[in-house]
Amino acid sequence: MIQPPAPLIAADNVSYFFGEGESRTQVLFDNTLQILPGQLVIMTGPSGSGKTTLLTLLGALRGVQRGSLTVLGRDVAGMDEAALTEMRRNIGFIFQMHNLLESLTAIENVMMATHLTEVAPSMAREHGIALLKRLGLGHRIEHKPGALSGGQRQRVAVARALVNCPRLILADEPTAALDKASSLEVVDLLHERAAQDGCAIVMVTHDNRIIDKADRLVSMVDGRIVSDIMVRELMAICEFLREVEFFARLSPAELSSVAEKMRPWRFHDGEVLIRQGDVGEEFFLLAEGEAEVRVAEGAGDKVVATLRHGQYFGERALITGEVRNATVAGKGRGLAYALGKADFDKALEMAPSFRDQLRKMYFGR
Amino acid sequence: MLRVAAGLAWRQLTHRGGKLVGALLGVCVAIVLIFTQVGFRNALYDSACGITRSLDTDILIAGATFHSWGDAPPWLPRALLYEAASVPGIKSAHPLYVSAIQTSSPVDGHSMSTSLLAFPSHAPVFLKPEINAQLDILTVPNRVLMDRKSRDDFQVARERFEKTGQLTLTLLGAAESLQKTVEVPGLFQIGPSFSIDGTMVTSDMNYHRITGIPLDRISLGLIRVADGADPARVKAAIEAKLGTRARVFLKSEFMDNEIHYYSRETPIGTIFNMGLVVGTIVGIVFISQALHGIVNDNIREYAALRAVGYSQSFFVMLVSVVSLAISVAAYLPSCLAAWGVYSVAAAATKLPLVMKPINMLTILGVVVVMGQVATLFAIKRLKNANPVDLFG
Repeated sequence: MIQPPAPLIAADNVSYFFGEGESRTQVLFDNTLQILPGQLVIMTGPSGSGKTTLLTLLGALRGVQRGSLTVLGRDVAGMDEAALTEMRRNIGFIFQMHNLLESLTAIENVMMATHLTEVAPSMAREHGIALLKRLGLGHRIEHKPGALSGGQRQRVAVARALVNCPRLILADEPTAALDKASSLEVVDLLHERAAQDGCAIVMVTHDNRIIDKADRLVSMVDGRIVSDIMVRELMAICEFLREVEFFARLSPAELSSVAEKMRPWRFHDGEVLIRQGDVGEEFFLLAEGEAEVRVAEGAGDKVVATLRHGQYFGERALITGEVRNATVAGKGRGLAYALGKADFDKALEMAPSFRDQLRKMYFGR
Repeated sequence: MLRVAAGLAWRQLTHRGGKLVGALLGVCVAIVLIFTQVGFRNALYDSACGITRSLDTDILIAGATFHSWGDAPPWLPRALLYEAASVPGIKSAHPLYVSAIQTSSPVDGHSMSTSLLAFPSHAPVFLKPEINAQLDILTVPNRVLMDRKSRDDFQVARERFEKTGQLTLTLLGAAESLQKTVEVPGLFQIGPSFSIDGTMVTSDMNYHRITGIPLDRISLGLIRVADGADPARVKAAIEAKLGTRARVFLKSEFMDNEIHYYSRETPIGTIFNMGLVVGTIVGIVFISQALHGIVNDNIREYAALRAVGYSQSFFVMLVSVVSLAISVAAYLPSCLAAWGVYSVAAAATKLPLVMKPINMLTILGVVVVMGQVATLFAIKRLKNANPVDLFG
């Protein structure tokens, strides 16, 4: 069995207060969050919802007051200022305002982050130049921030955050000062880092232009995480659902609502997803790998079909109330998404014509 | 990390351009103020000891109530000098007569404060060859030598003498009938003090003619010890001999006593010392302001650096280097400016305003310390560089 990767951030019931005595105000309430390597997490929420406070806690910029917080495998609670500072050397920060050193050139700004590491200056410079070129600043390497546009400055700040290849990058409205093209370029680079290096990126933003780039969307309201959605996964499921003939009539919002309720099921070779004769409890979408459909025949089973990526199964028993008429088992490793009967029924409620369509399809045979 | 801090400090300083020049000018003003105060104070001390330094003596004997040369020395019975001379180890014992007189300006007749020094013409007491070469002339009645560095209209008198070889001066008395006229057959060089415009030297007999003071009332007794004798031992023996009837000093002690007097007991000494303190405080304030401006302008940048893992010690190094650079950068032009001030002031006052290497080094040290004190204030400000503030 494959062990899931250890989370880079594990927050458990984290609360935070501002002020002391009678003016003490709670701004975060028992937030629990795990962030795995390779994820680009976008945190959204109205002003004052606590997302920035949570971000600064995750970045070891504040001490933990209540709850537990592990960042990059180290327990942050109880760390003194020196230890927090040391801790931050392993984190890349991107700020809303670039906060570059005005007296230094672009490459010197990037190099400032490398002085805290053991990397040889020549190598660090080489890496910094490569990053700046990747960000479209090859012709601005020796320019000071005053000679750069807002977008160019922010891209230098991004290079500064990335140059040490941190395992965790925290960004606060990094695209606020950028045009759409620059914003997408920056987020694509961050995404590329997450995919290639396995680093995690937590980004606070209100920028709708980039929200669809998130792997995961965490929404906060009044100091609490109110939703935590794996966006990319959700979008992939929606894509699947839309291809399913009888889900095609659902609106995007309805599709999304259904997708949110589907749970991932990573199966291995031979693992039974549906057993013939059982009561139908779940509807399945096959996202990765293959599955065999077997029907009992005499003493053994006969493979009657092989399901592949994008195909679905298990809906008939849910609609007709009959028992499963076949067994479906994994053929090799794969990933399926399962929707429980109650949620499946709710989806049917959303589009009555859809239910009729299905009934006609199954009862009219 | 010091290399990184120094590099960044340099870049942040040079990036400021005009602002840096403004800050440096402020610090320069403070340093020039310190130089000026030190220069004037040294001039006060040096001029107060100028005559003593030029005396050919190892030990000085003064009256029992003697406080300071600058505080009008009381007279001492000449007999005590002779009594002291009986102590073993003494080579010579000569009297020195000192009297404050007024000289009439050769230009407009206003009075100029003058110190009249006298000694027996057969017993030279000065180390000045110019004086010793003219001892015979001083035996002629009403002849005095004049200090060519005397100020005020003494300079007009000097120019006249140098042009014509002749000079007559009028010494003022309580009434016109008491005025004396003296001939100046030659010059010497000692220099004025803060309180005396000019100095004249003459024989004891002329001194008596001019002032009417009996010659058995001497101002100071000047003792030279025999070759190989220890001045300190001889001084102790004289003290034992004279008891409380006189005060006895080694030459260095006598000059230290003068410096102490001017430093601690006169308003002018206090003013110069206060000036030094004020200059130092002003310097700290100006450097603090410069640092404050730099820290303030870069506070968000420092916060960003703190966010990515730079520690407080890095920022302390950074600000220390900035203040050191400001101090040294301001010091060099300040030296030049102070040299100019010294030259102008010395020309105007004839006082010994000299930039001494030891003072230059001391002031450099003070300036560096000023910078580091200012750093301590700036470090408090650095704590405001909180990376949390960088987040929306």
